[in-house]
Amino acid sequence: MVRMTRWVTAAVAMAAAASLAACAGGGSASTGTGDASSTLRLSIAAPPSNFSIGNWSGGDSTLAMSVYDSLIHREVDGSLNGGLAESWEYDESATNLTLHLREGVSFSNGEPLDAAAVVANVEVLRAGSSTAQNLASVSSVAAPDDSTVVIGLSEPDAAIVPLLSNTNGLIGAPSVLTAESSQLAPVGSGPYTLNEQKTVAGAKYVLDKNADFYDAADYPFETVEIQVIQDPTAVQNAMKAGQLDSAGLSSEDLIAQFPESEFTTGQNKPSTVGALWLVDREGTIVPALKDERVRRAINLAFDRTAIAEGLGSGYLNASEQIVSPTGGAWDDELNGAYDYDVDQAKQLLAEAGYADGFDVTMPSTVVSTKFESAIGQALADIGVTVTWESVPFQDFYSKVFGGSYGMFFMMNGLGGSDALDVNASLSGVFNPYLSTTPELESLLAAANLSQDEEAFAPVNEYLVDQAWFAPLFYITSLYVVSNDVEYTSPVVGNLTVQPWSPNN
Amino acid sequence: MTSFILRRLGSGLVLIVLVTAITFFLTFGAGIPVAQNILGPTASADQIATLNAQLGIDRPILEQYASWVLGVFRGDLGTSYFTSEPVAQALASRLPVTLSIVLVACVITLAVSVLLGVASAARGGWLDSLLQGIATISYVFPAIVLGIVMVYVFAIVLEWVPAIGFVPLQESFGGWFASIVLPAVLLSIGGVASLAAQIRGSMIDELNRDYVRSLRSRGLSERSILLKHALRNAASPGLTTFSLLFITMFGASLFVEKIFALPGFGTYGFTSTIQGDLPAMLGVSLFSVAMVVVVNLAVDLANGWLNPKVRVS
Repeated sequence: MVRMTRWVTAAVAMAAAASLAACAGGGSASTGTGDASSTLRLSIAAPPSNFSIGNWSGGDSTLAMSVYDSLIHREVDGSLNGGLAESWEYDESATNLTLHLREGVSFSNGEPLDAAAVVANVEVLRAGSSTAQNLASVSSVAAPDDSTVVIGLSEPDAAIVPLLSNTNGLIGAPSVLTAESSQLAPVGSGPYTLNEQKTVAGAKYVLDKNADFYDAADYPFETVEIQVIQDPTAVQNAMKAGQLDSAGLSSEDLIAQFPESEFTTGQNKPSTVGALWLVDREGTIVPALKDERVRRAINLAFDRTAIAEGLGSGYLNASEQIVSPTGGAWDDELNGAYDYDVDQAKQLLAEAGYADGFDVTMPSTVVSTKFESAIGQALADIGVTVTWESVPFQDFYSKVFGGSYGMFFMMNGLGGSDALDVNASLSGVFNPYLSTTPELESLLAAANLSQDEEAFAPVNEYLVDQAWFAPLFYITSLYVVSNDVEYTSPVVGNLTVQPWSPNN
Repeated sequence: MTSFILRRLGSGLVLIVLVTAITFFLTFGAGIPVAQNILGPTASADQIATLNAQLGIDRPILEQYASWVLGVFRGDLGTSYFTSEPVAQALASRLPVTLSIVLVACVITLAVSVLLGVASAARGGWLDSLLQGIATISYVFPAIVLGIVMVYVFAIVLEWVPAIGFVPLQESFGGWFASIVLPAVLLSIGGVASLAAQIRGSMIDELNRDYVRSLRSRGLSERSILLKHALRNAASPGLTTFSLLFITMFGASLFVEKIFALPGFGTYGFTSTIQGDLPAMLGVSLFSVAMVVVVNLAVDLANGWLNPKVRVS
């Protein structure tokens, strides 16, 4: 019996030891890795998919743009300044963009960052799964000398320069450009390097300051910790517990939970537009949409101010345009183009031959559910009967591209440039049938040729006049930051950590 | 004994093959647009096709499945479509998080359940009422509500423990314990309610048996009767319940991982399923089935040790 007891005791002890050993391991996901005053602690909702050049995807580019440097820098106020390219200019035809590179820059593995490296990167970006379409107008890239790169365009494209200021213009070490290792272990020349020992892929990313970065003074934090936290409540709890320095808030009702003695709250710059995307302008699925009078009637059906105030929780702003109010194409007067008028909407429908209205099926997704009641009621008031068809979000794209819907509600991100915003609204799922008109093409060509800040204003005006879409609002999201840091809302968010600085 | 173990492991292997195959073909049949989900709404058909080729999703279904199976034999569980991280590496980093919570929750559950179950069976009275109260709380209040309250009280107001995050054991024992104690307590509440009730019922049955009367008449202490004799006989059904609890807790760990933002196995499995991240889903399925097989085998062996009548000879 005693011997049996000893064996049992030994077995239990071994099991306990094995259990403790099993609990060990796993990367460090603790907070407070570095000195509190020199560490910036942020969170993202989803982990990055792939650090390799040309394959980064996801809405938040902070990680990628911290370890890689871009050819052109987007400042917090939205202006474009020299990055790896100190300066740039177009030729007269606007089809050759010359970049003058900054000298003396190296990658974190010691490789020199010269024109040959940039050329290699641009070739990879042209083929990248995330960047190829954005850079479709790039027809050639060459290096006439070690510090000059010339990018040839098949046609003038005003979006190219803004694109080179985000993940479409990142430059990585040529030796590992296409290596599998670069997916998780990027080699760049950015303001930070990825601390692979402290990083747990998919859970927490730790960045160490690159002291050799030429603009190191613009990045005062020695360490940046970015945790992947999917649950918004967990993010708020972490803020309240002092484990994060900055976070977004989903409603102004939450502001009261963050006392001014410890936190600062506010609204970010416009980041997203929410709209009914009237994509079937050929009338294939919903014949009525072919007539711009019907599309205008749809625009007139909405009391956008009431929607923004009733459903906004403090962050929706009425809009009839798909461009950002911070851009040159925005026109305040266009926001009165379709003032709420049910009678006029019905009249237009009658003129178009739809006096009795028509039926339409739209996808119901996690993005639209909050707005479906308001949208459905507004359209019903003018005789358009909406049937909402529940669609898992992962099936949404395939169903739109498969021709299931002629119109739908969705959000689209604003890219900080009219060219980018217009391009985004006329591509992908927002224009699945690639519809266009000769007049629109002409306006786009003129806008792309011009370097004027208001170059896309005529395009915006055309899209509003033709009721190409039915925008409802743009979003100015809410933020909360610890009083230990200062935060300046950037015109283009989720790019770098420049908006934050220690509050000394 | 050896042949029994080998037979159980063999049938477990068959189960793993079946479950992973079903997972694979069902997910494939669902036609989740993985590349589109990664690239976003403005992606063109060419971009999607390029990414599909990079991920190997454009290959025939049987070729993809065969490739995965062959990889498993080499110890390669594939690479996540969404994070580019090797699945084996991801599981290795996430399992310690979930195991930490679940094992500590099991210890709490076992200790509190045995204490409450034995005491309420032997004494009744207010202890019985306490057991009923715990059961009521666990059934009435959703775990997520309890979790939010616990975070508010202990992490935000009292600042005794962190609100989110996991500290590995090798980094700091105190930090590790502080990061998992609240999740473990939350996870154990439901387990205590059911296991304590099970033990209480079994103990009452045992205490009413003739051999207990005989032991008392021989002058053995009540403590000895309770802990050395009655509890051993009452443990078998409790052990089975406990094994089910362990497996249930592993699945339920998803909720506490979400509340406390813990990078564990539960959230990894949930996220991979929502996204259609097939390699990750298959890795999660494989490990989950293997764990159930091993736990059930361990419980059978433990039952055999406790009660010689059920041993397979």
